[in-house]
Amino acid sequence: MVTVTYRYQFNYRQLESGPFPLLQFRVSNPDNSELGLDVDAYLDSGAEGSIFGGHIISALGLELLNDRAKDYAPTFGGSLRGYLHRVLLSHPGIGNFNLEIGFSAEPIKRNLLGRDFFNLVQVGFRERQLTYYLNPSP
Amino acid sequence: MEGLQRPLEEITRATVQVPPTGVNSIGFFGLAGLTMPWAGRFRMLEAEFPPVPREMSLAPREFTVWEVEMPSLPGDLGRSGVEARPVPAGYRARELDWRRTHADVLRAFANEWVALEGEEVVAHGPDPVQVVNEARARGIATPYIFFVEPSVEGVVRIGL
Repeated sequence: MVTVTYRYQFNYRQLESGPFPLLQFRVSNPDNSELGLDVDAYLDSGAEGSIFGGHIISALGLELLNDRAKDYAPTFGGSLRGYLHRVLLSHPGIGNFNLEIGFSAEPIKRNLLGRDFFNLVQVGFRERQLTYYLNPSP
Repeated sequence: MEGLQRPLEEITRATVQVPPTGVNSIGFFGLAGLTMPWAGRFRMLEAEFPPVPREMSLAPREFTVWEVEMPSLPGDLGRSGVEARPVPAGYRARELDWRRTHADVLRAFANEWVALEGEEVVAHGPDPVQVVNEARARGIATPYIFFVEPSVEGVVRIGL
């Protein structure tokens, strides 16, 4: 039996549309931390990679479109083009994460943290308690 | 009267110091404190917990989870997580709390992007880039921006 001891406990956030497991991060440009944006990011263990809204990149003073892009396939229809940018995700409690994230040129309502983020942390969900646990190390 | 009010043992005192958390507020720690004979030892006996007002019991909060050793308990119950020291909810805890308590106000902004500063909607509209620019024009260097999803009965939301 494996026992994991978690350092942090988070309650699901009660939003307008219901409770969700999300983390609130300050997204900033690693080369210019003056420009940042505070956003909510949903923990999505079913997503292979993280994808955020492209407007965030504009707010960081960066050009969204570049030659490093991936297609992100949802569970229906076509796919979203995500342009890869390395950004700094900061949380006053759990620390900073330097992560390359796909930023969508199409408008998306939610920023999703996928398994590339889960690869940097350990997360345990207790859905019935609307709670999750997190360790900021793999 | 002497003898009726005896000091709590350390193990019991740790149990009653845990603040309510709203969801599952007693949890394993409190439940065990009420129902189980204690023979183990906690590593968190020195911790002090500030009282949390009941009206805030559903407010988003985070707690550091500490390891508990209870060798007298069977199997996996011997090691579990216990909520303890609170840590910051994020840079925008105040705004998140406002969103939780003012969902009716935000309903007017359904399907729009909103920049919220404290308890004030400083910009909103269908274009997130414009909303960020408007918030910055009002002197907010790092705006908090989110999309207001409509609350629709019977809709199951998925990631994308």
